[in-house]
Amino acid sequence: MKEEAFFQKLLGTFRIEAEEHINSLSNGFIALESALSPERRSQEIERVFREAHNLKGAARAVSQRSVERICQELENVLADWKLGKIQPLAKDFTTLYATIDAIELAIFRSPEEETLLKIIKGLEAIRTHSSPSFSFQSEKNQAVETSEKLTLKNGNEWETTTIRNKNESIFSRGTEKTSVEATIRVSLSKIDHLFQHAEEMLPIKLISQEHLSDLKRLYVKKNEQEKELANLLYELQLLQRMQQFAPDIQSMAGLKRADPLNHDEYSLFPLDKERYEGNTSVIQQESGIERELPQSMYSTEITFYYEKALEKVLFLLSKQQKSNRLFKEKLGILIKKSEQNHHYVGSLVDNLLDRSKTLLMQPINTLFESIPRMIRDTAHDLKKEVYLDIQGGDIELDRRILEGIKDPLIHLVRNAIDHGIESPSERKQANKPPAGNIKIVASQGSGNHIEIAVIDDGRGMDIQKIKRKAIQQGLLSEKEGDELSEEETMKFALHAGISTRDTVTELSGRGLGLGIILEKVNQLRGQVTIESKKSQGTQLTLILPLTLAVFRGIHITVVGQDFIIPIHNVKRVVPLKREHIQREENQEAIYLNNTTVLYIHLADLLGLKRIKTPESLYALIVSVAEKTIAFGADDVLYEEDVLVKRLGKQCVRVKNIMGATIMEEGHVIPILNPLDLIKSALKAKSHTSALRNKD
Amino acid sequence: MNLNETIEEPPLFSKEEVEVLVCQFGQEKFAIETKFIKEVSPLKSYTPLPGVPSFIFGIVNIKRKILSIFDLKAFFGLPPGKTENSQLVILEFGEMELALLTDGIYDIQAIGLSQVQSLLPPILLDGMEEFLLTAIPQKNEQKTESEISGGLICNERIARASNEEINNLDDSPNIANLKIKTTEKFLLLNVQKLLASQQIIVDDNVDGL
Repeated sequence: MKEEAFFQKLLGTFRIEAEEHINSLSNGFIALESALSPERRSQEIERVFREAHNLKGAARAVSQRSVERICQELENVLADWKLGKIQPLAKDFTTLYATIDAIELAIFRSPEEETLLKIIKGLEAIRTHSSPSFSFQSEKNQAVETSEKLTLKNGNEWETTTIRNKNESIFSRGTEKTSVEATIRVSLSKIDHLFQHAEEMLPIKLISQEHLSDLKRLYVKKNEQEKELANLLYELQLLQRMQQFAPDIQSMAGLKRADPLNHDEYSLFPLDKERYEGNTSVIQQESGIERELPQSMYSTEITFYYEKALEKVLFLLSKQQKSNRLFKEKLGILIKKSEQNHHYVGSLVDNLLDRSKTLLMQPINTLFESIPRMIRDTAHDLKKEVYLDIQGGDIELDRRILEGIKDPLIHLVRNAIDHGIESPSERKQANKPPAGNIKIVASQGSGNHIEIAVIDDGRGMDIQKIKRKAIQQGLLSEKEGDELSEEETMKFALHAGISTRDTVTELSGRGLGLGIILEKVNQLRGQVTIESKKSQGTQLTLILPLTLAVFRGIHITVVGQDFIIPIHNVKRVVPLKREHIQREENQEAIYLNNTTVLYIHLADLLGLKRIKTPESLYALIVSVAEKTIAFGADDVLYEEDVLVKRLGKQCVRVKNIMGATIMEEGHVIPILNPLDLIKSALKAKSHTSALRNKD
Repeated sequence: MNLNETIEEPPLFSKEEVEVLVCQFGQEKFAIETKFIKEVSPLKSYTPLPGVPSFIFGIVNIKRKILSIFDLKAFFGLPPGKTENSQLVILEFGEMELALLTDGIYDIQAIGLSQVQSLLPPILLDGMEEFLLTAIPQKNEQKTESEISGGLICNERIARASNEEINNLDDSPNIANLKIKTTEKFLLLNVQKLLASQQIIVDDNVDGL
């Protein structure tokens, strides 16, 4: 069924291609029918000859025999033209146009044998010029008549009439036509550019999100301010009322109130020095008391001005309150608008990105195409028998990812034939059918991932051998090796330098195989898992993102420097206190769910200077290829979508860093490479243990 | 100081001229042929990268494109780093594009091609002479164009501000350096060779696992 679907797809492509050839052919005939210079004429003949030839080839590729046969005959005619064996006659074109129409029909539906023969005979007649009054009696009869009429008209009219003729025929086959979507060919680089630009739109979405939350924060702040203001106003009003009910304090001093009208209504402190001095002297004269009175007068006066000031403060505050409310209202509207804008921009950008992505999506089948042949050849070389079963080839994937996994996939399949599948005699002994089975299954995994599994029913991996090799290479101690479960041991098969093969063959067994696969897949931010059962087979699964450029990352800081780490490798983020970090024989570790996890602070790993471990920090639990390490970071800020960019042409590959992203304000932040981090951490560990052993 | 005073000198050299930009690198001045220069940008915000050779000063966002900052001083074994006058000169040749860290830029000059002397100044650059060409103010017609691929500086003039950035330098202490002695040899950066060199590429793998 899958194959049928794939064939249908190929057929669709052929139809599109055939349309182009047909258009080109009819344009060529139109040109040839008019008076051309001998030179142009031979060029044009050459061109239509090639078109016919190519169309024939394309038809053969998708087993469109009738199209192929017609084209073969057409090619013969054109070859004779080319060689000058015969000269094109006006009436020949009638036959040729009819032929083109017949091809166009045949592309969609195989013609009756009778019709086919008629066309072929007609073409043969041109070559022999034996049938001067060729008449094409078929369903395209009408078209032929139209074409015949055309030959009588002058050059200008031909084209328009021909087009109309064509349109009619298209119209008559409308239902069949819709099965082919109108397409044009665009160069890949143009699409890539377009896609890059579409990706550049992403920050706009993020920026508008930022602005929206800024506005919202401002609103909250303003709201708090308003409350504070209302409280203050309330308290002051209370104070004012209290004072109104206790006016006697002033009259007790026997004083007239100073005329409030003398003061500028809005100046908060009308009490200037001159006035104050003037008043005291007046008071002094009236009362005759020299020391105490100015004191009391002073306080009375102050009370009065307090009252005045209070009045003004109240006035201004209520004014402020009003404008505050207005401001808040405006802010609210702005937030609404900004929200709408954000949604609009967001959906526009998302749509644009999604649509652009589909431009780059291709079915995995394009990758699988070369595999059957490769398997046959490889199996033949190794004198093994292998059946292949491919599933899920119609799943679409970012072209860049497809390119990236081409080598790993071929590697995996070769590994499966070379290491996995036993020789027929071996298989017989193990009660298996002599032919091995390799399944390649692509499936939509969880979330934005697809999985490609290569499954064989071969001998499986030799756990003991992997263990021995791992111990030999110092990746494991004997003791650790004994305690390791089968599953955990299996993970070592992914390490570079481990091969269960004792001999190096041309195909595999250099011990680099799986390590290289891991590296490549990691570059695509994918993962590799491995399962194997002795004498039952092995399954290696590539887990890949659907698209490359944008991913979610966690923004962290390490001694004041910003970094981003891809979220899909971070299993957990745990807050950490300094005392949680255990020092064990020169290396640090933390306990997590009752297991010890190797710990290393990113500053140490990246070689950034730091003074000492702060009181509290974070541990990022990172897992790649079944290895888990806790990395210390000083702060974990937030999660965000990031657009990966390269580090410039000078930095082809930088250890521990996979790329960088440009933040909204233009700042560049490096993106950490989880696989590298783990490698570096393990290296640092083995380095310290090496030092330890020296001591 | 009047920068324009000496600029009126008639050209001393042949019509075959190349345009160069004079840049400061520590105590040294190197000229760079302008045809390799895409733009000049002041060094503002940049991001250092951990674990790279010292000649990668960091990375920088130039028009939403990430470029590496190449510290030529570190590459040449001179005291590395930036100064307050640091300018980035964006160079492009072939496949390579990078931001060259300079301690300041001076003027653009036209230099006669025929003035090129064959190379190898006894300078303190550790095996890095291959990336430099030199010229003394003498005519030497035998040299072919290919030998002087980078172009060169052999005249000495007082710099004239050629664009805004340079104008901004007017008040800087570096202006004193602008006067170049007539007897001084001019060093010209062989941009083609430098940018095509594998030595400036960082391609580091972490082994293991």
